[in-house]
Amino acid sequence: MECETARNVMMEYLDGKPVDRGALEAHLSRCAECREAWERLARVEQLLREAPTVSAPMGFVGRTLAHLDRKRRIRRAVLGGLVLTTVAVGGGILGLGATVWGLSDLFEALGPLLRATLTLAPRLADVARTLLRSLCLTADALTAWLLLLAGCGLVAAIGANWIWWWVVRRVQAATISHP
Amino acid sequence: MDEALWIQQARAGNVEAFGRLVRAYQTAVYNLAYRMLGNRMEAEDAAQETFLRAFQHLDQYDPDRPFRTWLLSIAAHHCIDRMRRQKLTLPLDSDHRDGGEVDPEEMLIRKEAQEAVQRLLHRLPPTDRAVVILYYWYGESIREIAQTVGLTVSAVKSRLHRARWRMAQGLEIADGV
Repeated sequence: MECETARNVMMEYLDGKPVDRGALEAHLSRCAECREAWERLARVEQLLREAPTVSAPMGFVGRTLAHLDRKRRIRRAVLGGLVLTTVAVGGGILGLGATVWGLSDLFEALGPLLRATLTLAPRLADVARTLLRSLCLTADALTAWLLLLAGCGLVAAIGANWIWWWVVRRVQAATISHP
Repeated sequence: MDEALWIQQARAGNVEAFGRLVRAYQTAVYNLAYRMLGNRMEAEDAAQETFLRAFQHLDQYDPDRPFRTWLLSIAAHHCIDRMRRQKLTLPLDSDHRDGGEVDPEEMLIRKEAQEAVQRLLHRLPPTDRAVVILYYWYGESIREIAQTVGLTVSAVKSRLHRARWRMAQGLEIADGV
């Protein structure tokens, strides 16, 4: 038996497969290098087979469940915050848009009506018309700015939530690493 | 042990049922983590994280597979990732106590053997270490280990053989046997 074959046989033997032990022992009695390797392998095998299973420390279950509970609460808080912010900002944008556009349409609709009722006082009608037109223009001009502002608010809210979530995770990781 | 029922209840979010699973498998998971990481604090942290991940992903558990194998798979992968992140720099514990009343001489022999085992394991790369631990401590077959760590049967076999040779060489250096 060659050294390489002998070493393969050693591995097969340690794997629990049937091997020709006689042939291996005959080789080991002739080859000091393989014999030494076999002795070392046998010692490692013995150490590993005899090593005990290490029990979990006292209170492990309680700590694990408390950790689980903490994580769930944090997740719920973060998710709740995200949903609330998104709903609030989204609702705000919708409400703002509806209000601005609604006012604008109302002023546009009121203009001719007022003009007709104020025919007896043309000068007053002119003033009212000018006033209404400027109000409409102002509302239209404000719409874009208000929408832009609301959009920025939405982005800021999402960004703030994302940063909050990241910080919570970091703090949580630090807490887990150093309980 | 009505494990299937606990798993079903835990899947529905029942923490108490999950607690029973933690109680049943705490030693299996902790021992794997301790043998992988060689450090009690890290082992507890890794074992806790294993159970948290298991709870979060219970819907992915296949009931046709043994629950222990699934859990050990999560633990092994988590420990391998952890060791890679920490670049294997964890200090080894030298004072691990298994409990029980034994005489001081016996205790010393056990302690030396424990330390020798951890030193040998510490010589192995993460995946090879997981293969050795699953083979020697959990009695898993090569095929089961392949499933647990996500390798082919031949890859597990060659890693196990390589690990044995490496530990045998390590024994010569570290323990002068």
